Formats: sequence, structure tokens, C-alpha cells
Amino acid sequence: MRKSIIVSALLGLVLWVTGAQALTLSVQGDGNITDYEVVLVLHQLLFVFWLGPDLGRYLWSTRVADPQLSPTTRITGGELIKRIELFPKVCISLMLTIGGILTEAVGITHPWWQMAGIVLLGPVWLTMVVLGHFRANTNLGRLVNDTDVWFRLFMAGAVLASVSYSWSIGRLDNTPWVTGKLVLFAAILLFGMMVQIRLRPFDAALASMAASGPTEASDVSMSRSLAGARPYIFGIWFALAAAAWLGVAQPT
Amino acid sequence: MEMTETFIFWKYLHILMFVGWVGADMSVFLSAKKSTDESLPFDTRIMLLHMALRIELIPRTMWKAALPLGVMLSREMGLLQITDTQLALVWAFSIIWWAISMTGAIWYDKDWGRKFAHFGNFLIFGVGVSLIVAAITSAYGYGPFEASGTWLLWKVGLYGLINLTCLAIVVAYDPMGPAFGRLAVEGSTPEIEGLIKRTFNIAVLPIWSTYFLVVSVAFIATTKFL
Repeated sequence: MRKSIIVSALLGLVLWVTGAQALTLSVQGDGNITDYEVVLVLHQLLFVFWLGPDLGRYLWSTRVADPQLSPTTRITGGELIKRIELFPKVCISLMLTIGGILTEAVGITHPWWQMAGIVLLGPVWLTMVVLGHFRANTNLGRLVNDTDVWFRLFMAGAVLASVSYSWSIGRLDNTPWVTGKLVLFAAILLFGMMVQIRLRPFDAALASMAASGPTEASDVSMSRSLAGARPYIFGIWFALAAAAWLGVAQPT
Repeated sequence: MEMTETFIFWKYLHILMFVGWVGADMSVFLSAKKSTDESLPFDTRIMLLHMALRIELIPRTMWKAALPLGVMLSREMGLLQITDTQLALVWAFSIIWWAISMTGAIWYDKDWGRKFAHFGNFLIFGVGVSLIVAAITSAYGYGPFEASGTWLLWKVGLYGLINLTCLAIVVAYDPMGPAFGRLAVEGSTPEIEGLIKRTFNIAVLPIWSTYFLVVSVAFIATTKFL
């Protein structure tokens, strides 16, 4: 477990240092590897390791909710979901930092204090994710996990407020696609928040099954919980795919 | 190069392909790894393996899709001169290749399914070697790709190599089915558990090599530094 934390911390550090280096960016390629290109690859990788594992996580959740499977299989599936979902959680925590650095390359400049906030957000959020995952049974881990919904709500609000302000002063006039991506990101945060809320009965039923075996009520609760979360899960996928389209096409 | 709408469309699909390949494969890897846990009951381990194989249909599809999508992008960029008929043949081959691969993967527990999978392995080998050869001949100016697009030649060659590492995964993982068959009949024994663990540990090498190569290909495509 300690090894995993060190690896995660090192990964975060590498991403952070790479991102910080990209503060001086160039969109021009000259046969060399530019900072912009490195950050762009990281951006793509975050998308890949966010949406890709999320598909597996969803497929496993349908199995976990399947009452025809043995309780051990369903509980093991639940444990596996927790492991798989670390990928999307890590990616979402770093996306604003990497995305924010990339916006510099398309002409959206930030004052130093804003850029410092953008660059620091990734490591801070990543630390919260790592603590929430690997220290879930400690007081700190529980605190992080319990406040995650509120944190997402705060971040969604902050992103929307920032976009609204930038839009109102014409800062995003030349890059409406960046505006679209940020609004979609805020929507994803809200959808993710709703998924967490809707899946609370699912998690509770799983915990109850692990403690005292499945009951008809817990099976029904799981199915209903998953059905309630499904529109938001699909909403996240759609929003991610749409954001990727905006990033590729960059319509003006 | 001007970014036409068609180019953007194929590029977008190319990136989604990357998502469904390496991204989705994380769930496959973790599920397969968990199936080697000898503390779990047999039905749970079988379900883990089964789910790994079911989710793997997504990366399997994307791996095959990389061929026609790559050809479309290369053509759009003017780095591959190919007629409409040849293009149609590439698509036809890719669809047939995918269908054979999926048939073998979906019906892995049937004899005829295994025959499809076996034939699919030959196709993978053929595609892998052909693409490596195509990259080398193109680098020497004999086509089919433009020699000037060196980054693309690297991509093509590495995609060929990825096919071979994927084939290595299939071959390395092959003893897993019979090992689980024995596990069902004989129960958990140190010998069978050793075989399962060994098989997985051997397969890990080409699995991680594949991940590394796919990410490298993405890096080359984005930076075009070669």
C-alpha cells in the first residue's frame, strides 16, 4: 500500500513538473518535442485513462448488482470497481491543471496567481484522491471521501464562475471551444457528484452484503441505485466524448 | 496541412480508439489479475476471468479498428497514395479480421470458437509482419507510405510490432484456459495455482510492452518528433 502511495505521488510529481515546465509554450512544431506537445499528450492520456477504465467499471457494476451471482463474486466485483475507479479519479484530479496549461498555448493567458492556482490544483486534488483511496479507513481518508461531493460541487461552481467572468470580459471570444470544454467539465463534475449520491444505497447494500449476506431488499436497492446513477454515468461519457470533439475540432 | 472536416472526423475516431484500447484494457488487466487470487472460490475466479474476456472485446475491437482508421488518416494527410478500391479492400479486410477475432473471443469455450481464434492468430502475425515490412520499404522510398513522413513510418512499424506483442499475449495466456479447466475438476492444488500464476506473470511482459508501445505511438503521433 505504501509502495502504491509513493508511486502515485511520484507520478503526480512528474506530471506537475512537466506541466510547470510548459508555462512557456509554443504551438509551433519544428521536428522537436515542444512543451506544448508533451502537455497535449498528457491531456490525451488523461482522457484515455479516464473514459476507458470507466467503461469497465460500469460493466462490473452491473455484475455486482446481479443477484444470480454468489455474494463473494459480487463483493469481489465491488472491490475491483474501487480499484478500477482510481484511474478516472486520478485523471479528473489532474485534468484542470493540464487543460489550464494547454490554454496558454491557444492564447488564453493567466495572471501569475491564477496560473499558480491552476498548477497547484492538480497535485492537491491528486493527493486527496490518493488519500481517499489508500487511506479510506483512516479519519483523514474518511474526511476526504465524505467531503468529495462538496468538493466537486465547489469545483463545478468555481469553473462555471471563472468561465462566466472570462466570457463576460471577452477573454474567450476567440476560443469558444475552450468555453465549451470547461462548461462540459463542470457538467461532468456535477454528474459525477450525482453518481456518487445515487450510488450511496449501492455501496451501503454491498457493505451490508459483505457483513451479513444478500437480502432481497439489498438486491432491489442495488438495482434501483444503479438504475438511478445510469443516466449520469452515460452523461459523463457523452460529455467527455463531446469535450474531446471540441478539443480535436476546435470550432470557432 | 489544412485540417479538413474529414480529417478531424477520422482523427477524433482515432483518439476514441485509443481510449477504448488501452483505457478499457486496464479493467481487463485488473480483472484477469484478480482471477489468479487463490483465496477466492472457483465461481468467483471464473467470473473474473469471464469478465476480463468480455471487457476485452472493447480493446480487441479498437486494436483492429486502428488499421483502417490509421489508413484513413494517412490518406487524408497525403502520406499514403491509395485508390478507392484499395481503401475498400483495407476496410473489408479489417472487418473480416475483426469478425474472426470476435468470434474466437466470444465463443472461446467452444471448439469451433477456438479454431477461429487460432486462424485469427495467423492473421495477427501476417498483419504485424506486413506492417513492419511496409514501414521499412517505405523508409527506403519503395512505398506504400511517403518516405518523408518518418513519424508515420514509425507509427506503422510500431503498430505492426504491437500486433506481434498482442499475439505474444495470446500465446502466453493460452495455458490459462486449460489450467482453469483443471482447477474446476481437480480443485485448487499448489501445482495448478503455480501454473496459473506463472502463466499470468509471463503474459504480463507482453501486456506491459503493448501498453508501452501504444502510448509511444500516441506520443509519436502527437509530437511528430521523428
